[in-house]
Amino acid sequence: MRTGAVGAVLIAGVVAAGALALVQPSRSQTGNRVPESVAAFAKVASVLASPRCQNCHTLTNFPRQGDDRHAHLFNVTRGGVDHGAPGLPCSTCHGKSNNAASGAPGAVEVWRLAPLAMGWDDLSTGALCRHLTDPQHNGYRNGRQIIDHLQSPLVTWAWSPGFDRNGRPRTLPPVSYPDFVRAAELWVSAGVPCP
Amino acid sequence: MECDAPIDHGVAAGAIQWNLTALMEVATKPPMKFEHPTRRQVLAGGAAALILSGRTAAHAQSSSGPSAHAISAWLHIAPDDTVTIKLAQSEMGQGIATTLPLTLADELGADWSRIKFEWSDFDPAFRHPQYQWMFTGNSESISTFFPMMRTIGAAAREMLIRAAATRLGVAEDSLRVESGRIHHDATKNVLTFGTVAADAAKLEVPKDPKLKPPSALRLIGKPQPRIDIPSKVDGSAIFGIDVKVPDMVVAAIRRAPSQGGSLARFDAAAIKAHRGVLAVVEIPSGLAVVAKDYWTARRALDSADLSFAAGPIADYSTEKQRSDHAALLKSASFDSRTKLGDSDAALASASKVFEATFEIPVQAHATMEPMNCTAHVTADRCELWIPTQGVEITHAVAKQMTGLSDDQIVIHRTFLGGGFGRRLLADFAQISIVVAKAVGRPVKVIWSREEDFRYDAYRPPMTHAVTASLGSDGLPVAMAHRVISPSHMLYIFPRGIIKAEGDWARPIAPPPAYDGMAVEGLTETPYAIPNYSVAQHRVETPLSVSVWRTTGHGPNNFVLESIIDELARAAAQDPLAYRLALAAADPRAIAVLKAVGEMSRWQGAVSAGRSRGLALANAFGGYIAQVVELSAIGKEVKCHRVWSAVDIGQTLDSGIAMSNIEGGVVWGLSGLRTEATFAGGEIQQTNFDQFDPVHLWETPAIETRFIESGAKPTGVAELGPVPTHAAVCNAIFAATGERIRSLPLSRSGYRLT
Amino acid sequence: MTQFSVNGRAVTVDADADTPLLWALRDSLGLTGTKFGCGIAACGACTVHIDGQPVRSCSFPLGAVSGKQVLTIEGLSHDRSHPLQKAWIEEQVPQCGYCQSGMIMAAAALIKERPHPSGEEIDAAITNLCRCGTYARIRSAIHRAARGMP
Repeated sequence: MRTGAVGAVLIAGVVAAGALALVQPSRSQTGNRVPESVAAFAKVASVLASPRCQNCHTLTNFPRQGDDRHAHLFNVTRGGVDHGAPGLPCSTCHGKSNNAASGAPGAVEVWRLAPLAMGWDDLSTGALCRHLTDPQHNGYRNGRQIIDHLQSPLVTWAWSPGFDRNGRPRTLPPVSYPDFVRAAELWVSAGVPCP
Repeated sequence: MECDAPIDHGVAAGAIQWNLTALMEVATKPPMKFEHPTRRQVLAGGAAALILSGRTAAHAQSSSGPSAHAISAWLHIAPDDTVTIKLAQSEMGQGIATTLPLTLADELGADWSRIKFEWSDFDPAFRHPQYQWMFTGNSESISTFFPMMRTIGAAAREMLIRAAATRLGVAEDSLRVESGRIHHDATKNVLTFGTVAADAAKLEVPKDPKLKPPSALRLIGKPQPRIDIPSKVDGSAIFGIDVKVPDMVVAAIRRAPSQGGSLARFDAAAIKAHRGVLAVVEIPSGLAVVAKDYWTARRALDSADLSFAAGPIADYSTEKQRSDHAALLKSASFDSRTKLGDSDAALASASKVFEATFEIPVQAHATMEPMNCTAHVTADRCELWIPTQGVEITHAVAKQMTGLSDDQIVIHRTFLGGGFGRRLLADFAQISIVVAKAVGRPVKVIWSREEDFRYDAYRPPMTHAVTASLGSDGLPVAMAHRVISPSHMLYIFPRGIIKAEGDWARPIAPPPAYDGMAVEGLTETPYAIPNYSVAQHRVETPLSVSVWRTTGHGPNNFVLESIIDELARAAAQDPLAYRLALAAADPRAIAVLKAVGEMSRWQGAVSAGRSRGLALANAFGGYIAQVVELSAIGKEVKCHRVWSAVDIGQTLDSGIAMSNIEGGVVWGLSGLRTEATFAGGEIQQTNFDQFDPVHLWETPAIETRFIESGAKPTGVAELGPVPTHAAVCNAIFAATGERIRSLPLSRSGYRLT
Repeated sequence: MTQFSVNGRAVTVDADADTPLLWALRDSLGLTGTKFGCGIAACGACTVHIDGQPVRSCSFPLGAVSGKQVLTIEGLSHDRSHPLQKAWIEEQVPQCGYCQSGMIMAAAALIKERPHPSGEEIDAAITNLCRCGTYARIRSAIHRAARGMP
């Protein structure tokens, strides 16, 4: 339930990008698509809440690890710019690809935490939705840019998260990547309705 | 080196010819063995040196001074004036490779900055005189060898002086030795050691060499730069895992996940099909894959389909062990060798009896350098390069496995990346010998961290019941300990002591029912308790178990000092004052207690949110009193400060001693959190993500003071951690009112942060 | 074949691309100062610098180091003159010494970024494991080295 005023701010903010604006659709436009797009968001949310995403989208001063989301071992901390403490950047152990030898995950994009503004700890589905569409919490992204972000290596990593040090594969998000992207696109094109 | 000048460790270190080329020379050239040269060889001239031929047959050091053989085992002075001191005690971080040679050099009057050091092989001359066994462990190196280093140094000095006196035609007492030179001040004549070494070698060894008065010692008693530290800051120090010898190959191993299990099935051809794999060798419980380098071997091994049969310990679990021990407390018979008064009667007639049962977990050693050994076995030689604490048992195992004679077995030692008792055993040598025999060339076997955890010889689990009653003065009038424990010493008993034959690589049963180590720290305490007994039930365990830094002292002090603390509270007495009263007859205990009270301002107020705990120990011949200050927020415990007052008789090197206590405190704190647990016969901690010792950010501020009681010098490497468990748990009690009876802390929900 | 530079020297290593850099350094290049402690990037004994950044070399594949500059403990100085090495000697930090190469490389990465680190910054950056417990002196040595820096 977003106000038109917020939508207007967003439109103003992205006009330079010329991209698809996040517009609050009128009920008459979306009518019978709302349940579908809300269901789509539920799919999106289920992925975001899974450990592979949630472990780095934290509100804590440290990352989390594992399906049980325990605090990252060895006192690893966020650091001032989300890249780890000075002298111990995340890249110390996390390289450009998953490392089978050590079990440390990695991705082509520099391994790091999502900024605190993009922390999702304990958010309800509705709150998460509002978070994702709030420029202060989504890196000032519009809908297209949100979809683009889903293609970044740190995100796609979640579907090829490699093996832990015991050779066990990390669990995948509950929805396949193509389904996830489709759901996100549906949600975005429906005007990012929030439950 | 001027004593008062600030120690420039850089210069001194550079001048001390501690260079690794020398080490590797030792590794590749034929060793100096205990076939000392014959008299004829010594007198042949040319190469003659202060190598004293074996005119005295006795190998053991008698009270009439060191034998020629003993001197020449430790010290070699060449005609070119090179002074070489052999390192017989293994260096695993405790600093012994500095202090013992330094003592010898100081007493002798050698130039410490120009000593050459060489690791020794096994030689009866280096045996512990009482045990008749060569090993490094149990904090015994200083107490055993410090006096010997002085005697040897003094004897050699006197022989050099005598030879110089003859050569110069002057009286012996007109000569003095300083920095490797013999000075005749009256004529300003100066002779080098090298000049008179050959002459000195012909002389009789003095029966009663005169030690220098303390004022004449320049090095001992002051903190000295360690000889090994420079190479440990530039990557040049060679540990066992770093050894490289010509034609060497490398092996990775994998064994059944449960100790004693067996390799049921493997496909050798498939493994050998991996590029670079040279050989596949069966070893006890598993397989070794051999290649030119570690990763080639390891990768082939990791991808190999190995199937294992669970062995004899398939149903071993920590849960069952704990309940078995609890049941034994009720039903087992106990062997008591310590009885003062009649604790049974006193407790039976007491109006109030304090009872508590404590549990100590299995611990893993987890040395930073995993187990490894390089071996080369041929028809007439078995050569090992090994980071070992147990040179003699390694020699014995090699001899048994190869059938070769003593002088065909050559052991080169390296630095140890941690020992803690683990490297006293010969199992890692045994495996390397098996592989070496199969491949016919030198092979370095490296254990993965997982293998190291799985095939540790763990500190055994213990269960310990204590009962006590108080007298009218509030002090304990009766105390009885019943300890259930496997033997700590199964693997390390020297066969000479036990007089048993058999397979040297297997554990040996100590005398039935009793393991002295399992009750040490209880059988002798600083406390005067008139009715006192210590009883033990030695339980069998299928796990491979052995000594772990602090041996029995650590677990037993946790119990003793926890119960003493509890009794003090029950008597409404201050824990420090209580112990001062109870230990009144032990001046060394009083001194450390008072000192730590002062250091920690025990009498004063504690900062808000903080609590303190105190513990006292008499262990390994030394005394230590320790106070821990911590804060507990809910179940999260943070240690802020640890004060220790330590009496090791005479502090030979306060820098090295201090580092041992600092590191020891960290060891003690770690032991409150780590444990090895088992399910289905398998250890559940196979790397450092599951076995979590203390790290830098968790390390409290550590302050240590040494008390010079003047008692004979004793070891310090295991002393620091002994009181730490109880000091922390007593502080937790002060903070929360909860008594910790079972370790690790997590069993009571506490977390060290 | 992977070409890169180690301690200022161009090298070529013929080993599989997934070989951990740690083992390429130790076995192919004979640089044994960098140590193997755990193999899962947990202990830090294998710490080196790659293009000026700290890396746990047991978790870094050879294939990814192509064209890069690697610095190991052996390359920190020719003569133990790096401020951290001098401080480590002055404070007599090492006991068994096995973890110290990694410690020093981790400390070097820290003081590069924070020439005068606070106690908290040292706590956060130095996560390497030392079983001998030399941590108190590591702290002192880092502060000592920092004091000597401009």
